[in-house]
Amino acid sequence: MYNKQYLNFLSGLILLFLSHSLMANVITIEITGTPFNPIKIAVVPFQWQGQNLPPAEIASIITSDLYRSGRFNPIKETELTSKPVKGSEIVFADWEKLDVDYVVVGQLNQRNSKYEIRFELFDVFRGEQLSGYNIPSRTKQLRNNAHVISDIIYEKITGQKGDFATQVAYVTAIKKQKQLQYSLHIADSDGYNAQQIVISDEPLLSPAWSPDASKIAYVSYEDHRPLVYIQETATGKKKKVISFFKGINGAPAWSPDGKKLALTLSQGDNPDIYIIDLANNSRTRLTKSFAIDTEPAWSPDGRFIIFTSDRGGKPQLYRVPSIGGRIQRLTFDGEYNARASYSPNGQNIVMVRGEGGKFQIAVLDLGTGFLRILTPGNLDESPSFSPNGNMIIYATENQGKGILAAVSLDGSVHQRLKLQQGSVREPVWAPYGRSR
Amino acid sequence: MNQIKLLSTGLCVLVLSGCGLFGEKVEETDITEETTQTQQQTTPSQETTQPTGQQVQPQTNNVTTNNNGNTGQQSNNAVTQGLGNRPNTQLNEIKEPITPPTERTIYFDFDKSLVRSDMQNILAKHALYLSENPRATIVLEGHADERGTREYNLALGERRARAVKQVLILQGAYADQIEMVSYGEEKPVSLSHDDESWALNRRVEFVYQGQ
Repeated sequence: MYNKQYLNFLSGLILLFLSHSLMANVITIEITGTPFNPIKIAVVPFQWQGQNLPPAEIASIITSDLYRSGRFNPIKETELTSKPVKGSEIVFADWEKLDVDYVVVGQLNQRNSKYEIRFELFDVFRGEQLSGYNIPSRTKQLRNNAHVISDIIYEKITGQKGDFATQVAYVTAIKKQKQLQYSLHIADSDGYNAQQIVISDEPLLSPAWSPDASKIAYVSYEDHRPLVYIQETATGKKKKVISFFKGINGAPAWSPDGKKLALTLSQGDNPDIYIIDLANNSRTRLTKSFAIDTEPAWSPDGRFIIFTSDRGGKPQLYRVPSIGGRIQRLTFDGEYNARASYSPNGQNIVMVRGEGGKFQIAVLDLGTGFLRILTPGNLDESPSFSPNGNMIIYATENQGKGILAAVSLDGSVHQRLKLQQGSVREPVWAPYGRSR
Repeated sequence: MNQIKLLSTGLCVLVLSGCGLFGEKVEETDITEETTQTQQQTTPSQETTQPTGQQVQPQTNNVTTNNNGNTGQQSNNAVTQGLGNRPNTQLNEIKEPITPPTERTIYFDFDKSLVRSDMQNILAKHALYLSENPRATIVLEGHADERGTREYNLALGERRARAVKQVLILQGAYADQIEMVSYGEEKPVSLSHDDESWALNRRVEFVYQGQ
């Protein structure tokens, strides 16, 4: 009798476990493509020391991270000839034979209700340790801490800060009865751990992170017209930014110092670009034309605003000093160039490019003027740089549904995140800001 | 038993006086010619009969009464009978409320806000209605298809609504009758990703208020 109850209890636990992992699997990730000059790395499966199944596959999270960056080519688990778990167990000659430059080994240990992740990174050629940490974790932190490890590995090897342990925001639209229901979500940069922060029967669009990643500005139709709101992600508190004007209040973009918002106001006439000082709500008008001017974005140094305008007949990109001044056209090539944003180093801008009925993501190198198309889609939109500028997340269409995708800046590696239900659009990558 | 009788007589009365009580029925029948029950009509009709039937106005209880139930007057030699005044025929006008034109969507070409020639007719009907009904107000909802960027499409939807507003005003509508809101590509009527759907989604909808 006792045994039976115990068994029931156990199977209950297993079910809970399964349903938990099912919930975590609301998205599927597909990574395709071959990096141009990849760094070869082996991430050996982490040894699990605990009961039942490991709560997270740390090594595979790290492997996916490194692969989707386009900088690494992690070798497959089936190609491994040994599976060391500690530095002392590594035979470097074995890894040289596999033509591997770096090896990551580690363990995931259960400590009562908590865990401890242990990892070490080695340079095969030098035969020496580059990094190693022991990271205590609660269950909820495991995935994020795996991303933190990816960040450490990425930075040690490339010299550039990693951005895997960051977040993205995006909008979903789900058909409920005959209506669409709109929600704004925040998730890990690989799409996991999604949390809903706004839900509405009226459209939501244009989410924009504050530079410290503590707030999101967005456009909501909850008042049956487009108005800009700012919401604190931690508390859910929100306020209206502009509510005095008829017509469009849209396309919010934070200044790099977080003190101002550039946005589009139409006042029932042609939409123009304005800058609102958030401290006193004073506004500066930057454009005045008989055309559509919208989608402002700041340069990282805060000196310029780029925006979309059809003043030349078709939507093209223009630039204006953020204090006002002469407007300069940036794109001349192509039928449709819109919704641009700067890379974090200010050298590139990413945009939506329409040509021959296809809308794709393209990057313009501001130094050389060279434009590169990064994505193959027909209806790709809303590109957003990752905080270190090495990846771009965007929205695309798959089997009639909006899904999220990411591409490395060099266009070599593509990644698709598929959610189980609804249509996903408008991803925006959070800046480093605070870490969770 | 008594109660049943009472009830049924009550019903009879109701039925008899009824056609007026339930007068919403659009029955144009009652051309109630005053008929005489008896042989000779000595008095010619004093009034010219009005030609029409009874018109029943919606939602009013018009009881058409055949008034003057008069009684005959008699003398010894000649029998006359007064017919009383011929009853006035009451004309209750049927008036359907004037409603806005039924076609309430017009469509646009890709990235265009010019009102197409095949849409002018629909627009003209709305302009006429608005100008003749100055108390009617309308919201023009501008929409775009999913191609291109969302904020640009928001602006495009508004430009379409504005173009429609201008035409309506040129044709006699008043500016204060017309509000605009653009939904860009956010509220498609068709969710497929093809030319047919896009053509349906590039539109301005006429949403009359208070209806």
